[in-house]
Amino acid sequence: MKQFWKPRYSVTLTAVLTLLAACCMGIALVFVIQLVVGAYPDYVWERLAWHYYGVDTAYLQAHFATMKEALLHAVLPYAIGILVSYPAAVVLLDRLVRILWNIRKEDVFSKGNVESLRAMSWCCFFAAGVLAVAAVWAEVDFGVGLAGLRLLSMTSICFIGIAAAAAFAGLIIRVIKNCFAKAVALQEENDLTV
Amino acid sequence: MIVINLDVLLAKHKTTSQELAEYLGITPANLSILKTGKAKALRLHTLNEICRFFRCQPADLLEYKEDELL
Repeated sequence: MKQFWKPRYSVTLTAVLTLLAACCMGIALVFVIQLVVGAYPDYVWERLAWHYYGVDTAYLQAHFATMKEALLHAVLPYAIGILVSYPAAVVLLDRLVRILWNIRKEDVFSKGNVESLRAMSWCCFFAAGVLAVAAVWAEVDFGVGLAGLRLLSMTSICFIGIAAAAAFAGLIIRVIKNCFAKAVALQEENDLTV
Repeated sequence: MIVINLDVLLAKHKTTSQELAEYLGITPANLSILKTGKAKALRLHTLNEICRFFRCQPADLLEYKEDELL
């Protein structure tokens, strides 16, 4: 049988996926900034209010201005959480590209890659912390001020889930970093054996 | 620490490191690691070949020097 997949395609696939992730990040940033500066038209807010409060349309129309204000206030912690954790994602992506570049140069078990993995794991932990704090902040801020609200919003649940996933990713990267550090030592020993 | 007296042996036998590298079947770069004392380990096979090349004993190549106490 003809073999379609070759091992050298793997790095290319990873590079393509990284590019895709970078595009997603860019799109997300545009959305969040639009949210913060209030660039969305009213029907988006209507829809959001309907989702959050589940109120009938007549009530919504009567109190739209107040509700929009309240919603903008409510989504702010999430938006700020994303914006604060954004640099971590940029650093993570940058390190990822650097590691990929090093792999292309056949320089896999190097000290630079270990350093990159270390930075990546800390970025994950940082992002996890920020997102968790944002979710808690949103709940506390939101829960007291407004009546008729579900105590734990879907957004907060998602944020906590993403934070947990990021923390786990950080943990995994950390273990891989420890393995890598060991591999670098072995590689050095091997290189200096005549 | 262990000192590798490869340059002494090379001078004594009036051979070049290039020749030795060819005989051992290793690259000059690797031999240079051995000569400059950067090597972390020496394969018994390599030691055997070096002894065969110079017709000497391992003790002629390797020397133990007392580490300086800081």
